[in-house]
Amino acid sequence: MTIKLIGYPALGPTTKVIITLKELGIPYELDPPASFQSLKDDDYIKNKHPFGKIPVLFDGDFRITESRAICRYLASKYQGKYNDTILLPNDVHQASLVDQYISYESFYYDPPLSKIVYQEKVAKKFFDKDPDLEVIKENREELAKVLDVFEKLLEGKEYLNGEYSLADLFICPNTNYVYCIDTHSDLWDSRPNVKNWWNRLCNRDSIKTTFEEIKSKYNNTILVTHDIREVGLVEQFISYESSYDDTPVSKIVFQELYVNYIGSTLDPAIIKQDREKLMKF
Amino acid sequence: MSIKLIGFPASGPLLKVIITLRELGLPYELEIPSNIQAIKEEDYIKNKHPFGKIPVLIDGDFVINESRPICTYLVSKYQGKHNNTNLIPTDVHKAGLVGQYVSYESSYYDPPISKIVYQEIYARKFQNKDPDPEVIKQAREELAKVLDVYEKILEGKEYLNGEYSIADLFHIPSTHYVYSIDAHSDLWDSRPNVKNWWNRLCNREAVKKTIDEIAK
Repeated sequence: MTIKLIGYPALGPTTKVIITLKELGIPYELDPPASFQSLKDDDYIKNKHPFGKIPVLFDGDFRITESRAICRYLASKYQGKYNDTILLPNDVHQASLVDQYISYESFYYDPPLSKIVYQEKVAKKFFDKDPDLEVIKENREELAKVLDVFEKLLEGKEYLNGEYSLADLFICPNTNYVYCIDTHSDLWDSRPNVKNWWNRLCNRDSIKTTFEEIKSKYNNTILVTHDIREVGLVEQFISYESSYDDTPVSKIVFQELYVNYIGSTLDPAIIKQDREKLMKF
Repeated sequence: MSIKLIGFPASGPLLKVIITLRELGLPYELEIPSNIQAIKEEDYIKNKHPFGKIPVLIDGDFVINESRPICTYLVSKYQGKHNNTNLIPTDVHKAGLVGQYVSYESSYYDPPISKIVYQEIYARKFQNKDPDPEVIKQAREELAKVLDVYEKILEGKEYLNGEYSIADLFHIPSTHYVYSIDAHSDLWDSRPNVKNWWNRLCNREAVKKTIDEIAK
């Protein structure tokens, strides 16, 4: 039975899982939810994710949620079955160091990076608001300090733990978003070890293919509308939905991808439905 | 050679490691840095933690930092060696689910509870500031929603994944801090499954011992 992945490919957490599936050569089916609203349905909460999030993975009857946990599970179970790619070392000490670097990624690297994603991708592109320059400046400074540490960690190494691992994989999705913005690529390009590391990652087949798929989907999207009233209505709807989100990171990418997803399957019926929902608020 | 643990005694992340060491029956030495400045010094940054944080664990020549990876390392290496306590299942599916619950703790549970810990305990002590009631109120509301989900997850179960695991353990230090404040214990006590789960955790030997020490 094929693995089933529920999620949106361009959403950071789902992207992590897709890259992992590709790295390990595991066949899978992608099942994008009908809408962000459907993630809050009783049925979804009960049978897919109790916090109403994506991604969710089904391996036969086995269900698992949370992107990093899903990726570890896939590596633990399937590493070496379809190809030789190692994402989690077998040695207990090396595996623990990979865990340590994953912790750096989630607690030090991702928070400032996500805030920049929000300002540059969501505020500007969707709400017609100028990005908050002060917030961007602060988070660039914080991210720069983290990258200074990474510059040292990568001295004499190709990847964070020497060999490629899940820790390197996990930084890819959000880094891709911000690196592709001209005014920010310097954060990586000005640090030789970091620059080489990022280029190395971008050249891996699984990562290259995944980024290309996202780009082609994103470039095909049509922004919902420039009608200011409709923008306002959808903004209200998004803030209503995001008030149910508990984590700042998912709120950011949630909003970001809602736009892209609506854009990519622009369907007058969906827009009409959303407007009607908003009218009720 | 004994395991060496570096950190400040009341720190939540350190307590995760201490409970884990005790659950596994592992002897260790605690080294307390002289002050907060000591962990920002060049030597510490270079040899212990590149981000200048605690805890750090040294096992012979092996240095590892970040509380959850440290705990997972201890389990991977020593589980079953000194006693029968299992903190991570050997079955790949069950272990996967424990990883999922570990993610729930760090993504959903920890952010709001940490805000309450900060406001109620650290703001006054270390920054001479009064707790901000608005922040506390919002954090309580967020935590309440998370605990509503936990109430359902724990239906018919003693622990998050059925049997006790590292995922339950990770919740203990911050929960102890906030539960101990009268104004907040209702968050757990008003939800029967959650209440029983918390009481069960508090009754474990390793946890009782560690909590008693904090009280002193």
